[in-house]
Amino acid sequence: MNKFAIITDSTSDLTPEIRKARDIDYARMMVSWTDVKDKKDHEIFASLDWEVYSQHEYFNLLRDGNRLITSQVTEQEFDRVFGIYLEKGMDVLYISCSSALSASVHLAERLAKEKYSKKYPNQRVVCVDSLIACFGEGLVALAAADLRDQGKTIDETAAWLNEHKLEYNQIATVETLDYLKRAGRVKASKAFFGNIFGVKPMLISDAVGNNFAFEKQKGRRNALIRIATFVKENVINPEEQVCYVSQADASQEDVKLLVDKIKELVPQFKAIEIIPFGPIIGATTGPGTMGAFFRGKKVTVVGDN
Amino acid sequence: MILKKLTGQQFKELTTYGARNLRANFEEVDNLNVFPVPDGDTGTNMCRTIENGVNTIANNSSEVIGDVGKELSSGMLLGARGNSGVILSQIYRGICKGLKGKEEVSAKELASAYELGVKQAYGAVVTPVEGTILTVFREATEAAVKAINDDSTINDFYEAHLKQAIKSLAQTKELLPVLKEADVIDSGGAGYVYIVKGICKFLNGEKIEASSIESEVASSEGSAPIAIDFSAFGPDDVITFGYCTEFILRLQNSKVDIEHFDIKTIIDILEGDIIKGDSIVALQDESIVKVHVHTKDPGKVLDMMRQFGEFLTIKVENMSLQHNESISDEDLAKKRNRQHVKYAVVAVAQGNGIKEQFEAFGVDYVIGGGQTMNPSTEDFIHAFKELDADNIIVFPNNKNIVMAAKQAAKLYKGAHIEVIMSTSIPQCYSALTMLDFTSDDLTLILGNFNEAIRNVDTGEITKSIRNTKVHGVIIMKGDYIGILNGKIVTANKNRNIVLTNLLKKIKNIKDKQVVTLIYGKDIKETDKPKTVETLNKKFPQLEVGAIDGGQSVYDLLIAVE
Repeated sequence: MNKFAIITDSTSDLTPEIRKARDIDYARMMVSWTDVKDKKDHEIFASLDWEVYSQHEYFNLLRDGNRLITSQVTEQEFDRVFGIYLEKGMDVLYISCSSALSASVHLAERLAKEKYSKKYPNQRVVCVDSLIACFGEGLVALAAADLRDQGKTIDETAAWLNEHKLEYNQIATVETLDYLKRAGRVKASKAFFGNIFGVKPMLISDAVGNNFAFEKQKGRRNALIRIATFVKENVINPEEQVCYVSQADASQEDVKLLVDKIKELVPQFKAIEIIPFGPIIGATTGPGTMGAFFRGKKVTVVGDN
Repeated sequence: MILKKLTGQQFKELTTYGARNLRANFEEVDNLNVFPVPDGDTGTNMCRTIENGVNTIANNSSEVIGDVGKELSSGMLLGARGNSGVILSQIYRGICKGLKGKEEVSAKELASAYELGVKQAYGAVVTPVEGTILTVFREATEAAVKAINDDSTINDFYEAHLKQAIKSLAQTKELLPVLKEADVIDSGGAGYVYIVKGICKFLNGEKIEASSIESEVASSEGSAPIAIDFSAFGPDDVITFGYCTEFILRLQNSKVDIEHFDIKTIIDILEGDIIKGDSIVALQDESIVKVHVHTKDPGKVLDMMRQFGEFLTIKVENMSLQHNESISDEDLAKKRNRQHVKYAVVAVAQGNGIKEQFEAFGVDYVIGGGQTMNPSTEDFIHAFKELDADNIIVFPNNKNIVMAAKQAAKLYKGAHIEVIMSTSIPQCYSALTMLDFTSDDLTLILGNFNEAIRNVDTGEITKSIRNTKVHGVIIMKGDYIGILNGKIVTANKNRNIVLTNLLKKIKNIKDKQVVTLIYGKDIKETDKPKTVETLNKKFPQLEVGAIDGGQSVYDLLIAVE
């Protein structure tokens, strides 16, 4: 039986440190834009190492008014990253961004069937649609790493993930609705947002993998506090896990407020770790987006359009 | 005339006189406003409340006082608007309960009926405040009850009633500190005194002519004449939308049996193959028929209608030129597109900007009105009827409107109605921004609204129309005054200083996060950026947003959350 590599993509928000510690790799999506300042076209990999643009510089591109266009993982990129492990004779477990947000998983599935199975007939590429993005996807990948550590096979691991992936919860909010409106990725009726000033949507990843504004709060602080109460209401066995707080170049006060509130409401967490909100989802939710990711009650709600 | 007993027709007459006398003096009552702001409306509200009752009984020819009372009561109940109007309607409801089943009443029986009026009015108000119409009516009734005996006449009763009412009215100033400080008497009490004066004039044989103001007021509520752009229909254009045709027809006895006339006869013709009308609204009230129809051949409509009666008014408009459809038309179109829903929302709004905003938030029916134009109980019921919903949630925007809304909620049986206690436009606005029925849990939904409202501080900025002192603030004519949660807290020549001071007066301003400014129709476009700038500078922690409300009187309405 082959050893298997765990590979996610740019929306998983896994930091270099975590990826190294847990031996996880990722396939990079793309970001492109025509810069409002130099008027030139730019295209970069959506890197989770922030080596081209720091997170602050990257979100400033949005603040400057740039429209960042994100695109799924290319065939070339899959060839590159899967190839590294397939060439070593390993199997590949690809844990993808929610298929409701990106078509990457569909491409990977097709390539696995039509290309890699022919080129590497004795090896497998197994795809798991995480039905979530951001660090929620990251958490699914970390769960895979745990199972691999326990000696589970690629099929056992994939089966477990498919059964349990909806237990990984996202609760997030944006600082302003402007970026979301630009992107149109959130499923919620027009009336829900309207042109409402000061209203913050509370975003979960629903049971079919969409970002769903299930509730709204008035004011930034109320929205951050709601993240913490949501964690408290939905977490299961906090003492066995780390809560990840993700922030898109948010202010230190906001980060502290959220972390302190979660600590206050759920002191049992092993730790609360602050991680950078990634470039892909961040391009649509904008600077100031904050979220918490944890394992808890299975998500059953499906947002309406 | 001296009346030993009061009959149905006499009761009708004297109530009509009460209404007429109030109509003749309503502006004076409107001006009895504690705040130096030209938006008092107590006189208007009470007037329209009692007039709705009087109009209802205009054609009632019964001599039986109980019968007249019953109709009067329901007419006033439906017409009630404003706090004083609602209280007045409850006063009469109580009185008319006392008249129930009676053919005519003696002074003593009338006195008992008035005592029921006191009970009914106090029972209807959640926290009765002394120094208002309630006090005036109660004390006047108590005095009249004491003053009469078995031999007393109706005249004796009303004379005693009036005498004490005048005395009590003068004392309202002593009972309510806010009245004393502003040196005004209670407006609702004053309105009531005019009604009783009118009653006494009738009994003394004085004449009060029906005023023409009534019809003027009624017509001024419609939209102002709109400039029509004739170029929208040129020499080569073909009539596609037809004509919006409206008329009022007086059914003629020589042509039809009015008593058994069925409005359906008219509707069938309008819907039929010859006229092919749509957007039909046809209503009959005894011999009066009001019709609204869209048709390509208004001539035929008019021809065919004359078989039933003659026209009182006719209006025909080419719809290609119409930019503003009449209200009934628009409403009808909306209703046609309405499907049954679990939750519907009715809100009250004044100013086009606010109306549009509310509709964008998902409000299903916006009733026009607010501080200076309180919708009546009937207006609310009309709105409820337009909606097809299990639950209707109502957002008033003034404390003067809450009672009429609640009265309507009680009277309407077609849906479960909840009246939210939003008593200012900013409160209403803020609650509506949180409109969200996702949870499908009424308790939770209402809880969220109430929570949103609790969290709002309401600011209002307007110009003073006189020198005065209110809530300890000395105000010069022409000053901007800042009203925080219904209290005048600051005044200054500079509007932005008033705005800043107003916000500083909010106790927990440090905990506030969002400020929404609602610009009135008179604030200059060039002043707007500076207003926002001022707040950004003075209160950097606040998110400041602004919308064009278009409301009158108040340059700025402010929701601080």
